[in-house]
This record gives sequence, structure tokens and C-alpha cells, in this order.
Amino acid sequence: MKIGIPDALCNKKDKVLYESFFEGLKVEVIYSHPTTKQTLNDGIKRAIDEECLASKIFLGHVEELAKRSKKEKIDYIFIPRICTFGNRKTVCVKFYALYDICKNLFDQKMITLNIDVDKKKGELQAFIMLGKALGKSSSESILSYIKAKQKQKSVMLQRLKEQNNQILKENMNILVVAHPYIYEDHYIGAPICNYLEKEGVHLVFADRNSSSFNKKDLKAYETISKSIYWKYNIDLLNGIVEYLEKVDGILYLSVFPCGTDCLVNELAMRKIKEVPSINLILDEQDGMAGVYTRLESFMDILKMKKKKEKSGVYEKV
Amino acid sequence: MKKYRISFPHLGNYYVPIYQLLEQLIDKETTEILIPKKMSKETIDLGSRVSPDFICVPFKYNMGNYIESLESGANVLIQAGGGCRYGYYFELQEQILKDLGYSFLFITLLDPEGIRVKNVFQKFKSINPKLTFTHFVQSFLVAIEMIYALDDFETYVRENLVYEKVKGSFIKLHEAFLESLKKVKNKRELRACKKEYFKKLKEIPLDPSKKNLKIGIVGELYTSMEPFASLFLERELADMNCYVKRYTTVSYLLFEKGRNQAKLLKLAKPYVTYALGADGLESVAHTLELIEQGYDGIIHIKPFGCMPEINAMPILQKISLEKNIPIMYLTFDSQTSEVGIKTRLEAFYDMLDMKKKRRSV
Repeated sequence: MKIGIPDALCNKKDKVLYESFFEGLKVEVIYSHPTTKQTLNDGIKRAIDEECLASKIFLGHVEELAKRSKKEKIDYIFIPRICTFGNRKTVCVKFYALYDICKNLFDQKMITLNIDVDKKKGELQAFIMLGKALGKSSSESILSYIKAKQKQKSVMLQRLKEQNNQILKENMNILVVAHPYIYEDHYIGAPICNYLEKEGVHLVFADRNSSSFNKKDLKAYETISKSIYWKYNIDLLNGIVEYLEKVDGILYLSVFPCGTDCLVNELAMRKIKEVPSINLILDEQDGMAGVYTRLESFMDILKMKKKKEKSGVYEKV
Repeated sequence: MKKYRISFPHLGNYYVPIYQLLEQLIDKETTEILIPKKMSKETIDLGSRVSPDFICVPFKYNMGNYIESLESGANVLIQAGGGCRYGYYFELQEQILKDLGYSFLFITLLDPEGIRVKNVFQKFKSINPKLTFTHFVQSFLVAIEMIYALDDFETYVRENLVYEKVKGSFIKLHEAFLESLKKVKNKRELRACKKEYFKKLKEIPLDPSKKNLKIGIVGELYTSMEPFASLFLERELADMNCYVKRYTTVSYLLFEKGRNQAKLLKLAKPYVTYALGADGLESVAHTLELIEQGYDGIIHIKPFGCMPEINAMPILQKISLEKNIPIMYLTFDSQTSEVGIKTRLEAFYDMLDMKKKRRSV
């Protein structure tokens, strides 16, 4: 049994969880290659022109797997359907429909993981159903799920520790407020992160925060937004609250036209004025010069500010 | 000047039941109601100036309504909320308006999980301490009945507009109906008003021989229900001798949508396994239903960047191919030119017309 996983969107966010779940069930997993220009172009051909960049890229990844499926004998393409998490938490409606969209666009066998707590389909149950579709027993699936969950937790903790250890006063720390499927993406987000790291910046990722390990921090986001109900954006807001005092600047990185980020980032930018921030919106145009110019001048501002703070001299205006 | 001056955003003609409801709920000594200015180019200009760039267009229209109302003295604003991004509107809208320097009280009716009657009551009680729960519930029931009456009336008008013998007779009666609805005080008066106008409505002479195409409208709720946001799409279609059907009304969304979920999933089964979020599933299921009923063409409308409707679009495209039915996709944003839409509608009409004629030969 072989499963192809498009390495984009929600699969990027819970990569460790899915991977180790399938590993536990002894199901072979194949990933799509990192995003390239070709991936994006394939996605654009398949997608509705108004879809967000991230989902266009996702379709490109599915397309690639579909092309490879015959040669490499991929049995199913894995496309999760993530809906509600209970307690009025949900995600962007794009994730509700990913499975159905791909099923209509591609003539491939697909397999899904339907997490919909409001309809009494919790995460564990969803994984059991997924296991069943693959012909595994419930006990196998439960065991594999628990192990995968533990592994995900330890990986997340590891990442968090690494990140926190490097937040040093003498470093330039920039908080990246972006979903993992954006900043980790090889074609759109990673070049920006690499550029900043080359400039000597330590990047702090807002989604890697302690709220998943510490119940006390779980509601930290309420200081910025009380009524928010998108889980992925709550993660980011929790990160902002946690790191706000430790960083020199904030980089809001989103894609055009992201439905949730455009509301939540706007609100965050209006409420958080303590540190300088920059709002970058990525789209299909691939000229990066404009982006780098903006980042450069942002860096200049931060450097000047830091220098002044260090010497204790503030210019009087 | 009174202490509270309440205002709310426009949504089609639903300002009448909202006005009616508010009038029952407020204390007239301390509060007055400001119906927001009629939708205009100015409204959307004002709104889009202060809104995030790629937010869906209802946000921009709402902002325009709010700013116009605040400028004319409102200090209590109401937002409905609920569903997709709409439930999150109010927090950002409040922040933007406060950043612009306005001071006001913001009331939201729906929480994301639906209407909680008690919560809504508490919110109104905060501006009218004299309000009793029985009176509150009674007024709400009257408002709901009025919404149903309005929806029934408008559905009849929409579906028969194309047959009218004397041009303008429906519109005239519609306006008169709205005027008298505004004056309704209780259930008895509402029923009398409804009876009177429905009788008049049925008396309007029709000419069923008028040749026409049958077109169904599916899609997002705001652009469906606010004629200004869809640049008077329905009126335009009626002018072209098209019979128009649309499912989305407030009464449908509030009271029937929840019950219908299982039925819709069954209807859309070959194409859709799970709900697509907001009204996405409705668009697919209703399209299939319209095809079944022999409609000539379907128009799918949405604001720019509407996520649930974009989810439905690839599926609709597939349906369109497999069932050989033309579907036109219209996206509305803060543009205000009717001409572009008109040209596309005319082309769509011509195509449908040719298709029909060819089939009948």
C-alpha cells in the first residue's frame, strides 16, 4: 500500500502527525516534491483564478502526484478534510472542501481524514475511520495515533526549545506571523526566510509557541481578539502575545487573497503598536526584487532602532 | 437629541423588518432609529477606503453604511454576524471605526454558533432597561413573520415580473407594501396588511404568453439579497424577459438552512461528500435541482474572494460540463459600473436563446 501526500497546506502543518500515523500502520508514504514554478503553474491551470495562492500550490502538488501515480504505483492520494474542533473553533472553509474539490478535479483514488468535532467526529475517530479505509483494525489505528501524537508533541517541543534558545538580546529577532504552509514553502516563503537569515536575523515563528503545551497560555490570544474562531490564526495570535516583548520586529506574511489573514492580521496590526511591523502579501507574480527592497528598508529601520537603544541615545525630535 | 441613536447596515429590503423590530424593542423616550442612507456609489467608496484590500465586499458595504450613519449622528450600531467570515466582521469593524475617531456602542446579534435568544435579549436590555422578556419574544415573532411575508411577496414578484402586462405595476405595489409594512404595530395589523397586499398582488394582470428563458440564481447570500451589490442583476434579467428563480432569502437562511443539510447532501451526493462551508453546498445542490427542473441557464454570483463559493465553483464547472448546462460566474467587488455586467448578461442570454432554438428545431 502506498499513499501520496501533497506536501502543502494542512499537510505541512501536521506533517509529523500524518507521517508517523501512516508509518505506524506500515503504509508507505510518498511526498510530492518541494514547490517549484512548475508546481505553481500546474496549480494555476487547475484552480479558480480567485483561489488563494496557497491552495493553488496545493492543487499543483496533487497534480504532480496524480501524474506520478501510475509509474510509482500510488494507491491513494491523501487529502484531509478539516472542519471544526468543537468549542466554536474552526478553520478557513477552504479546508472544509479540499477533499471534494480534488475529487472533482482529478480522476484519482483519494483518501481523507474527516475532522469535524461539531458533527461528533473527533480527531481519534477520524483517524480510526482513516485506518478502516486502509483496511486496518481500530486497535492498530488507535495505537498508531497515540504514538504519532506523542511524536508530534516531542518534535514540536524540540522546535520550540531550539527557537527559544536562540532568542538572545544581541541578536536581531523578527517574529514571522505566517502559517507553516507559507513560510516553509520552498517557492514562496522559504526564499524570504533564507534572505532574512542570511542577513543575520533570528526568525521566531509565531505558530511555534508554548500554547500547545501549557494550558495557561491557551487563551493568550484574547488580549488581541476576543471573538476569533479560526484555530490556525489563534495559534499565530498566541505566538504574537508570547513573543511580543522579545522581538525587534514583526513580519506579517500572507498570501493573496487569504480570507482569514486579511481580517486577523489587519486587527493585529491595528492593536499592536509596540514594535515595528511589515505586512507582505505574496501573489503569483514571481519577481522577488520588490519584496527584497521592502525587507531591506525594514531591516534598516530595525538596525537603526537597535543601535540607538544600545547606545542609549535617542534623537530628540 | 435623544441618548441613543441606533443604526444598522442595509440588506435589501430587510431594513423594514429590522426597523419594525427595533421600534418595538427600544424605549422611545431615550432612543431613536436611524435608517441608514440608501445604498449609493458613495457608500461603497467610503467603505472600501477604510477596509482591508481583499476582504469580501459585504464588509465594505457595511462599513460604508456605518460611516454614513455615524456621520448623521448614530451612536449605537448593530451587526448580525454568524457564518464563514461574517461572524468575525464586527470585531475588526469596531476597531477600524474607533481608529477613525468615532465613539459608539456596538451590538452583535448572532454568535458564531447561532442565535442565543437570552444573549440577544441581554444586549437589548442594556439600552432599554424597561424591556421585558415576553415583549422581546413577541416582537421577535412579529419580525420573523414579517420577514416571511416580505420573502413571499418578493419571491412572487421575482418570479412573475417577466409576465407583467403593464410595466412597472409590480414595482409600484412593492413600494406601497414596504411603506405600509413600516407602519405595522402588531401581529393583527401585519396579517391584515399581508392579506390586503397579497390580494392586490394576485390581481395584477399577467401575460403568460411572453416568451422567456428560465434562469436560476445561486450563490453567496449578500450579493443575492442586496440588489445594489449585484448591480440590479435580477431587474436586468427581468428586463430581458427571463424568468428568475433564487433560493436564498433571510427566512431560508435563518430557519430552513439548518434542517436542510442532510437533504442537500443527498441531492449533491455524486459530486460532494461533505459540506463545503457557508452556502457552498447550497450552490451545488440547488444547481442540480434547477437542472432537474429544466432551467435554461444558471448564474452563480459571489463577492470577490468568497471562499465557500470558490469551493463550490470547480464542482459547478464539472456539473456544467457533464450535464451540458451553461453556468455563468459573476464576481462582484467594489466596482459600480452596470455596463460590464449588462454586456455579459446579454451575451449569456443570446447564447441560451440560440441553444434553446437549436434544440427545438
